[in-house]
Amino acid sequence: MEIHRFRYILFALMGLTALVQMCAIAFNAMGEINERNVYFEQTGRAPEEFFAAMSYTRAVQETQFWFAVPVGLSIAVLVIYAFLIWYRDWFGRGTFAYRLLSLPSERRNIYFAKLTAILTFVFVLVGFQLLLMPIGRAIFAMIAPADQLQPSYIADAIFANQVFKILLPRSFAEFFVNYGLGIISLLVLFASILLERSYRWLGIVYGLAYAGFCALLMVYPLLALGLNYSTGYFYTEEAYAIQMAIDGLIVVASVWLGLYLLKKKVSV
Amino acid sequence: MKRYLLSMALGVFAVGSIGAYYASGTEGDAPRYKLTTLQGDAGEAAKMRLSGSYIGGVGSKALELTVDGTKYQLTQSFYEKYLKDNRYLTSRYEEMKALKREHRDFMRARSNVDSFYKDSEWLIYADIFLYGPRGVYDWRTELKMDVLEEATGHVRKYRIELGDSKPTHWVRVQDVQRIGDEVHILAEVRLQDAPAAGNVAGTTADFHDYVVDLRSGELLRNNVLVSEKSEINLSTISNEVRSQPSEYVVLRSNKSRTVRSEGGGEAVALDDHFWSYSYRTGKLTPLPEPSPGLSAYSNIQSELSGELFTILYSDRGSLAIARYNVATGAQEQGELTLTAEQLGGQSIHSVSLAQNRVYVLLTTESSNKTRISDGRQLVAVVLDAGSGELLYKGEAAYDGPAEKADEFRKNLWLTNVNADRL
Repeated sequence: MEIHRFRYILFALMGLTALVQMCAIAFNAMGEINERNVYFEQTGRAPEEFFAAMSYTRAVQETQFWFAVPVGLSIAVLVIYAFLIWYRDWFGRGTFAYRLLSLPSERRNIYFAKLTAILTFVFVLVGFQLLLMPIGRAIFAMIAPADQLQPSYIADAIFANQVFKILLPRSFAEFFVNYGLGIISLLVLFASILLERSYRWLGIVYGLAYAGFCALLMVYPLLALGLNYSTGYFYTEEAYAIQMAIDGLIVVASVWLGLYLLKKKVSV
Repeated sequence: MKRYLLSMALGVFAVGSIGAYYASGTEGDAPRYKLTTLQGDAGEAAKMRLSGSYIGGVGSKALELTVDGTKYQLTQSFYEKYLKDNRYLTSRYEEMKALKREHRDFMRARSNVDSFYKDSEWLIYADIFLYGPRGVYDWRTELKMDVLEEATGHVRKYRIELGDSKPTHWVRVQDVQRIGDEVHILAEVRLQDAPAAGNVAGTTADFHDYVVDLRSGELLRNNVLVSEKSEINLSTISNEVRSQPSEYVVLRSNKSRTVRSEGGGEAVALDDHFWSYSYRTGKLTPLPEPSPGLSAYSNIQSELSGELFTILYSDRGSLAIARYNVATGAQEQGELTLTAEQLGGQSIHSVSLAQNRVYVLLTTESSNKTRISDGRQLVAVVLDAGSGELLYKGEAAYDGPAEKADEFRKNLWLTNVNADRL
């Protein structure tokens, strides 16, 4: 249901990402060919003598701003939608929230539908970005002269972009950590929104306090357990386990609080 | 149902796309290299690590080559990248890892590998802390010694005020040993001298042997072994296995000076002096001066293993080894010199001395060439530090189709050789 409601925005973001990034690659390739032609016309020498072979990885590196623009826009839209996914039920047309909360099914389904919708959008956009990379390479290869083309690996092209170093790290463990932190933040945000929906003006204070408390808890091990110096009391694996336990606790507490508020406190 | 179909399709797409990316490997253009054995026993090279970069494609990728193959530094997890290295003591040294397994609580918050002593009866950690100054004359140094009795598991903590109020730049424990009931803590202390009129204050480098009673924690003696009032570097070479008992330690002082070379240019030469110090007798014995030819070498490494002290001299063209018995203070045998050509190369890139072995990284290209030749080979050899006997010789090679071997070999740059620490 939630995915269905957002589908046009999702497809628009995907289309915009594809358009901007593929145009950036095409213009970069054409610009480089043009530069080579100018060199040939002015010197009469083969461009290969002066220029390195054309590389898709380097093209991605050179156009990383244009790669980052639609990615940044998508992130911004998803962050805004994480709020809208709740508030539009209250402030949108009609009394949709009233109908939603009056459904005979468990209210937790509403919570998990919204959560999985946002996560699906995030990972679909990440997956789409991965799909665009070989397409971009194919476009680049079509434009660049075959004899001046250096083969590129998709992983290297991805890593040539500073934004992708965070969004698509080479290690899956780091991917897990990066997106894990994102999911925890989303759960805390949901709990804060539901606090606001439950207690209104006072709920804003509760929500901010809860989010601040969770943020403090999350950075506490980094600041207090001496992870950054060699004489800290805890061994690294212990401090890491404490961090994991705190993160797990925040997940459980946020989900529980969200479900509790939705079931017992939220009113229309 | 149509709505759910869209959700399911998007879910499958996301999982499939991300899963395929990570399942297919994210190292990109990162060819595998191997060490091909040309001579000797590959087991001798098991602890050898060659580090450098693959420079193909766009940018370069740091890698490490061992007899087991290539390891790129690309796919480290968040844990490895940001957290593990901060506790290098218990993640880098094998002997410290073992101590952590045996005495987890005792090993907490320890940071100086030279501060340990271990035998079958005792495990000791001693460190000196510098506090202050709260006022100009209020420097305070405190010796903290924790002693674990292996038989009972009982830990005693001693805190001793060293009572030295001189302005101190830094203090560092270099070695800890037990002789009977006396614990010797060898420390380098860098003091700030009083400034002469109109001049900037100089420094004095001291070596102190603080002797502490093992049972009572009382400071018995404070012996100043060396005190130098000049821009001189002092260092110690304690037993290679830090936590093993050793009656001796080697002290080194060195000072660099600029000399005119034969061609008229300037070169930096090192004035090096070594002493053997016996904790039992308190005697400081100067080791014989190396022959004049050795002082011209630009790179010096040394190692103390039991009573045998080895100095490895090296430069681009050759290496030389001198060995001394620290108990007698005498040179063990004649100095051994090996040229890069004798080792199977033209130029020495890097050397490492560890556990009675000399690890050498060579290239078949002359160091005088300004451009790197496409035909160069990278060769690693392992020598016996005593006899100079070649125990292993291997060549870095592309681990893939033969037709690509030459192309990928050109893109491998190895710059350093190291051996795993105990």
